[in-house]
Amino acid sequence: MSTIDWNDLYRTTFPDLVRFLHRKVWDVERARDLAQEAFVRALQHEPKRPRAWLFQVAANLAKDEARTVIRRRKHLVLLKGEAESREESIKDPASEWSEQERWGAVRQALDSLSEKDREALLLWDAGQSYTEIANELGLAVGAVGTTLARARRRLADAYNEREKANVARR
Amino acid sequence: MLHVDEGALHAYLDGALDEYPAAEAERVREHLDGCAECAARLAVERSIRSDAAAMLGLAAPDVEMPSFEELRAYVRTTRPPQQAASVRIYRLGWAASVVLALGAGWMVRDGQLQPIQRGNAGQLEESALRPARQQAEQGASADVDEVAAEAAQIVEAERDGRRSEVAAAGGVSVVSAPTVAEPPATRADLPADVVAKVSALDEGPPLSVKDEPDPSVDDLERGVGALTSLADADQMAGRSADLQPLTLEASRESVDAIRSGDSLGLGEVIATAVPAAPQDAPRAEPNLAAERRRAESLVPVTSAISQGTAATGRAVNEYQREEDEPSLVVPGYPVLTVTNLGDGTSPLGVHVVQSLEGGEILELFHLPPGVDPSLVLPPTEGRNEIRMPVGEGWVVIQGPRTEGELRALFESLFAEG
Repeated sequence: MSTIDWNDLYRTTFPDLVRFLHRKVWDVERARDLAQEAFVRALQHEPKRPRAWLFQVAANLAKDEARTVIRRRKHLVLLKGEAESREESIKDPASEWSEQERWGAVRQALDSLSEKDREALLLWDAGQSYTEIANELGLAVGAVGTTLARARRRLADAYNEREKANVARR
Repeated sequence: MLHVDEGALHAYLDGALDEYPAAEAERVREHLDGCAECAARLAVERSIRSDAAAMLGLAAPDVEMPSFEELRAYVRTTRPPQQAASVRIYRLGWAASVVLALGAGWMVRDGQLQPIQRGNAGQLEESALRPARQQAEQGASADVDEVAAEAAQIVEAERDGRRSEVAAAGGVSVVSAPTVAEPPATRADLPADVVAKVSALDEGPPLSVKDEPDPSVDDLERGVGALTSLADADQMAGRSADLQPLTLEASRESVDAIRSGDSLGLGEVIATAVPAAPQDAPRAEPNLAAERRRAESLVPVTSAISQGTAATGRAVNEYQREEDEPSLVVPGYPVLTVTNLGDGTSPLGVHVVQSLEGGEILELFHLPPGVDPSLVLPPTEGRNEIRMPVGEGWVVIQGPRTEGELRALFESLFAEG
């Protein structure tokens, strides 16, 4: 019989999971949907180490996202007219643009990392422990710190370079 | 004096030293207390860590959480139909394959569907009832009688020309094999070797399943179903290209994912074919592994869709294709692999790899309506591509031939016979 407090786990993990997924799919709604999907599966499977399990499933779901995008693209075309008319009335274009620009900058910086470095950083940022990251990525616990150090330095460098280039353009 | 490396500095900053071996953690703490150089380095790393965290924070979305009770209610309302539907579909698929594979003699072993050796039947029969009994003890829903009855139902439907009804109901359509006799109604009526095969399927391949998530009987069924559902495609391709029956392959990792529920279970299952040996020549053992390696080494990874998962619809249609439908494979050339693309609910097409004269590789992508042909990566150097609309979908062909020659190969897809 399961002794996991799923309600508590959901409350403490869901936001982390969405953040983790968002930096992979760069779409808040989609990240939220995928996080829910991961929880639905977790509730069905009731794994023994649910938090690590959730992140593992979430990472797999994000990998599958490319396939989903194909279907979504079609869906988006169908809804385009409706969405355009709604956006005009409810969105502030300036704030939307700056948010997109911000995300674009971070995304570009993250893309400059190796897959393993990026994954380690995102897992850490989502609240995973060194041991959990090590298990997820097949690293020794002692190597997680080195991986994170490299990832953080590269992320900072990439982001700063982009900012410098932007300033030069302006 | 051995200074602290930057990894340990970050572990210190992250409060993760306790996850290090105790002696090492103690050494790092003591060293940082007394080493000015490392203290300075720590300050630099602290700044980098802080910058990185701030940058990631820039991309932190506002998270709106549905209530847990809503989620739980959703799981309660959707789980039974979801599981029942998927298991039923797959079970129909593999049950039918078991019955229909009588002539071909298939069995699942080591994650592959392989021709069964005559001498194995008795050995398999010994353990025939054990898995079913185990399932009954576990209260699992799977029942060999039920499976056999479902298979019989499908075959009956096939004979009555109700194939479309089966497909519409979510069942996997079946390629009728001339060797199928009267469909048995229950396990008692099944020939012993079929019972043995059912049991072999129940037992599943000896996989090193990860600690969690725990595989359930249903997952196992889905995994086996995923593998065997492609048998239809195999048989079809084999017939089209006059090939020997094909072998199904799936990576251990892939089948693990199927069994754990991380995947719908049909992905990365490869159907491999080899040319039939001439009848008068001594029959050489086909080197499937070599064929597969060859195909893998020569075929470029073709964008995300080649990572797709399998769907049998297109392939089964192919077997009874309409006049204006193309054949799945170019007649006359050995088929190396047939990979169905899609997630089981939304097929993305079929990827076929064939061998041209001299071992050159020809690739065909059959894309159904709604799938953009530009998703297929452009051909590598020395190869050309044609994209031909077919109905509302596309056929993309890539190979080391001129566009005119590729068009001729495309036209041969519509040749009769």
